[in-house]
Amino acid sequence: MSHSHIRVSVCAAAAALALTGCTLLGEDKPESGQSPPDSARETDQVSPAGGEVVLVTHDSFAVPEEVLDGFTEATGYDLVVQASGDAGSLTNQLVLTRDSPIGDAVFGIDNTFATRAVGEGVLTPYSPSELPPGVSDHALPGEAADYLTPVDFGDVCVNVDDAWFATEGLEPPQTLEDLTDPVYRDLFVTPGASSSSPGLAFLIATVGEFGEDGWQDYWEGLMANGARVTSGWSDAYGVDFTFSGGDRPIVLSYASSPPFTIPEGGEEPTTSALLDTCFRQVEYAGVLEGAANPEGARALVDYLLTDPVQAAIPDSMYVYPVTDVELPELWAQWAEVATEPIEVDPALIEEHREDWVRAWADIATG
Amino acid sequence: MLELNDVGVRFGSTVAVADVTLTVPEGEVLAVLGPSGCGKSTLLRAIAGLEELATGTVALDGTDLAGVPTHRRGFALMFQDGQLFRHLDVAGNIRYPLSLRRPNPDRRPNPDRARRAAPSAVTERVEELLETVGLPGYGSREVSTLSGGEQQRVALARALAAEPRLLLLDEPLSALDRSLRERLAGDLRGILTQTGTTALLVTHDHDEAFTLADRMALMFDGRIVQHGPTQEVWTRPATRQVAEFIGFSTFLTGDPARRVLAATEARTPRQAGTGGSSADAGRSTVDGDGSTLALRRSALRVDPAGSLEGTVVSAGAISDAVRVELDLDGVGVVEALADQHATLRAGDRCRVRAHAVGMARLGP
Amino acid sequence: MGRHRDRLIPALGVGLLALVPLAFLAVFFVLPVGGMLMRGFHPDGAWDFSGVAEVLGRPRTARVLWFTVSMAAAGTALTLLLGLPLAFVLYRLRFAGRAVLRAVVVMPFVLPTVVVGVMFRALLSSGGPLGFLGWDRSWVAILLAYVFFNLAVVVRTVGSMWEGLDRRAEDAAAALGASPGRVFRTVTLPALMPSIISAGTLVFLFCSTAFGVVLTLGGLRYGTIESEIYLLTTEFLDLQAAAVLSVIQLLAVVVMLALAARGRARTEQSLTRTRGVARAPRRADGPLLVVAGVVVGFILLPVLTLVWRSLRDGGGWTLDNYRLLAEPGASPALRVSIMEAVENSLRTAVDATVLAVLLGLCVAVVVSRRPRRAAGRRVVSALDGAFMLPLGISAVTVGFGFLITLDRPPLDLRTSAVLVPIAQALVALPLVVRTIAPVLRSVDPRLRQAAAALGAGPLRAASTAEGPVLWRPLLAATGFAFAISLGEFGATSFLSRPDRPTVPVVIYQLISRPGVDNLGMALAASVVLALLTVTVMGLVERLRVGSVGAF
Repeated sequence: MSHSHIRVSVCAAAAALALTGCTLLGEDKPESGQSPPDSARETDQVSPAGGEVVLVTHDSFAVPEEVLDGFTEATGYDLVVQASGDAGSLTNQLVLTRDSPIGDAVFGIDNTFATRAVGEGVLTPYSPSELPPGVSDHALPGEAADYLTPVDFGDVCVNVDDAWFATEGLEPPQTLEDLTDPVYRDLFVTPGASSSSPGLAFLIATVGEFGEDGWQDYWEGLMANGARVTSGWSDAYGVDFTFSGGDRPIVLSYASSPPFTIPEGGEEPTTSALLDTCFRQVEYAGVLEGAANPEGARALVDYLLTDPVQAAIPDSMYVYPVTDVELPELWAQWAEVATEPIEVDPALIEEHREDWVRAWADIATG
Repeated sequence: MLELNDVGVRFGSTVAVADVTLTVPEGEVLAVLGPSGCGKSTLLRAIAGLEELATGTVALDGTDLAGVPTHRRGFALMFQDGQLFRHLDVAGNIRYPLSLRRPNPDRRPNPDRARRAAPSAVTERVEELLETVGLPGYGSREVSTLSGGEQQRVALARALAAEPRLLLLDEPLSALDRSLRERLAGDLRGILTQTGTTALLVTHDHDEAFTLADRMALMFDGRIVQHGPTQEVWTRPATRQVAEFIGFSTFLTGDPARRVLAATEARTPRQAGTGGSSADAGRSTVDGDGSTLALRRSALRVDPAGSLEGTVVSAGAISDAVRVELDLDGVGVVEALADQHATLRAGDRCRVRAHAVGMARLGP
Repeated sequence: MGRHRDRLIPALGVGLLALVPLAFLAVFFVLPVGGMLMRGFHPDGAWDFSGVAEVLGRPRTARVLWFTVSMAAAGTALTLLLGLPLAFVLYRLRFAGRAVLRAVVVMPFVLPTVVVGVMFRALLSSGGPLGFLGWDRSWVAILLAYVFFNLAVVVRTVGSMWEGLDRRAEDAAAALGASPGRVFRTVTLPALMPSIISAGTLVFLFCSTAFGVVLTLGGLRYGTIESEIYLLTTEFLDLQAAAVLSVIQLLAVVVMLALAARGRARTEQSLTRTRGVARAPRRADGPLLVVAGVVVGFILLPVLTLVWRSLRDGGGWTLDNYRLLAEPGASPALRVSIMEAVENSLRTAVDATVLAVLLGLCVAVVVSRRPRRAAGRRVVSALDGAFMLPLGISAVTVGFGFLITLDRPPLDLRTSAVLVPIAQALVALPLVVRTIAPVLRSVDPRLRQAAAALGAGPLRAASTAEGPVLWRPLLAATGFAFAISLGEFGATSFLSRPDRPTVPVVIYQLISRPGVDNLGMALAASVVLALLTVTVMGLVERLRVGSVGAF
């Protein structure tokens, strides 16, 4: 689909647009679909394979421009990125548009939504022939692995403000169980499972830890102990967490959060992640069923596992690469991952997610 | 009695009204006459308490009104376009002041006021006022269905319902057509007299002022230049500017003036009580001192028995006469009137008779 | 023959004028929303209403509906209550700094909800400066946020009508003995009523579809229809339940618009318009000035907190956050620098504004005609309401609807950048109509007839009669549309392409990432966005001053 085609069809289709179509389309919109500076780049001349690959992803997708350009350089395909919503919204978008897919490849479906994506038939089987070492550790169980290739992972863990606990002379908690201890009353804040993707991961972690029958009791205990539920990660971490000036020294965040709390001129973070409380979110890429450019999509999935992309992942998206590329220094030092994250079968998650969230909402949001 | 003493109003550095000193005796109507933009509306708003005074005082019956807000002054305001409340019907508009508690210690005793709460009394009063202004049975009409004249009548009824200590009228008839204006002016005068309402009127229309007012004040550039009983101002304008504004169209000096005066018949029945004819005054002083003789067009009439003679320059019918422009021998071009049936064409010769009514002498 | 054509053209012209915006609405609203409803009720080629009773029977549904409606009503009432004194002070009084204040009032309108939510929480949370009020995570905070965001709608819509209101009716009432309060109640308020109803309707719709701010400020304790539809659609993919709620939303909006239309029709009147009625403040205006001052303070408080925090670094003052804005690659979370995002925002906003104002003007001209026949009047009234609908419908429904309906030529627009300004224009359009139409309606039709009688063609006659009074509201509407477009986040985040993000999208990306630098940049970017709006609105005010003297 070329843009000049769009231009013609839009003008012909709607009289409404004719009025302003010139303003809208008359601006110097790059034909390649890249931002204006790109057309000036030398990469534009190299187009051995030609054509365009549309990557559908969530709104947290961020990879440096030069790394994305590397894809065009290596393969000749132009890359167009379509991003919106979170992993759940992304998956549901793909389900809704199954008959007329909005792109060729997808990145960002995670293990809490993978089963839905595979089950609803939005993907076509593809897995790179040679997976770099380490990648298969994160693969989905069963035949879902043929559809989705791991690209990155992140551990959603409870974080504590060590500085606060030191000042108060209190021993920080260690486990999920500890959070219901009256010693830690009114100290915990978490984003909600119905409105936030780490919130959902935390809910699933509690299901994994306390079992399908036990998690509701745990949450009742948690709420009775004064846990605060916010809508999103940004206000839990950015407003309520003591590190950001709030009044809650225990917050649900990521294993990768601590390196960002090293004070200016300081040596080490003032917060840490509780590695026994982590749920591992793995993000996958795959080729969409009915893709206009399946070869391009496959090339893109392959490219996401190359070193330049993998090395850029920590700094751009705040998660860990699946291959064994070198981590940034601060990460290597301070952003340890869980050795034994809490695990829940993706199929089970798909089956019960809605029930869990509804039941959770009744307990946690009254 | 309304007394204005040295009243001035400023907008920033602009002086809108300056040094206005006027009185309006109880039960009389004063017209402030002046061209648009002369500050007369501002003066009216200042009296109403809608503009702050820069200097001077406004007093009613000896009480200074400084610090008394508009709604406690016990006045009423009426504008050229009525400013009726469009969300209320006719009765609703007239009822409006009746539903307000008006603190007015020296109000004339009024049995209706005592029964303010009784709806039937209010309804009666509304109907009574509608009859006064000549619109019986109009109470349930929507304001937007009324003609301009009817709207003014309703506005008047609404103002009268307030039993104002002073009625302020801002060009009350200017928006109406001529015949309606004349009829309504007569009615308004009658109603004001009948209800004994003290009123202050501002207008640019000298006929409106003449019909309605007992006293007249002329205002130019924010200042009062002449002030007195209507008849007196009408016949003895103080300056050429005033004279022009109240309808004098021809101004003569020297020989032409003397020639016209010589031909004038001193017939002044209407002015019997006002201290002699203005023409007499003119005759005695116009000689030699450079003063000016001002003539309304009614001062010169085409009449075969007249003693002046001239050539018709142009002629055109007006409502009840023919307006003629004449080149009068030895005088120059003047305006005059002819009978309605007169047939005059440019170039015709005719004779003209001069009347003292319609003449005035202006100082140098 | 010639004479016939002369008579036909105006009616035909008005009809054609309606056609353009209608086509726009059909393609970019009716089609996508219809598509989503079909997916809900007609999933596999057959009608299916099995889930309707179950959804309606959920206690949660009733709770959500009640909360949505009661909060929107309370928010609207409070916004009107505080907005009217401010409108008076900013549009009827003349004082230095008035233009700046007018621009300031619009500022909240463009701040991304996510930033304002975080700022409000920072103010109200137990550790914050207003923590003692105990309003954190309560419905009071949500109510305050509603007022904060929507004051601009009331102040500008009502203000632009108030400014042109002939004060002599009020003078007459005062002279008749009505106290200032009574004059306001019995004369001013009825005259302002059409614009108050217009503004109230808009505010109610904005409040009842507010989403991010409810979540951030209320925690998850309070759900609205909007957040419920979002959850059902994006997380649960329960399209039938979402469709049921969307239909309820649609019906509620239609009923409310119908009530508002009746109220407006009853109160609308031909107004005498004057200019330059604003006057210097007097001592008697004191109480109103105090209220207006408090309201402005309330607007500025979160904004100043924002500025303050953007300039703080640990214990000291710093400009680093602003310096980083200009640096490409300052945050690895971003693909473009903030300056590029500003450029994208401005371009998109210009497109959206042009689109919204042109279409809005068409709609306003059509809906301000008063057809002779009752059927014609009903059509006009329905048309008026139709363009309000997008405000009352969940952005998620429209956004997902775009994806499933605009997927084939000639309307294969799903991946096109034009969808962003189009979606923004859809949101801004009703505001443009609501700002312009009351003024056009209040123009005496005889003015147009007089011009026509003098030989002016229909267009010329309309511009002669209505052009002079159109200036103010048109500029106000332009500013509004621009501000909305600059700050629009919901639809934009759904549709914008990552290589061309707008400022609110970038702010959202920054605020959702860990790191002090990211938060600092997000705050600084919000300040830049706020300044941008104030500047644009200030220019609009200036522009107007120049044109006012012309007639």
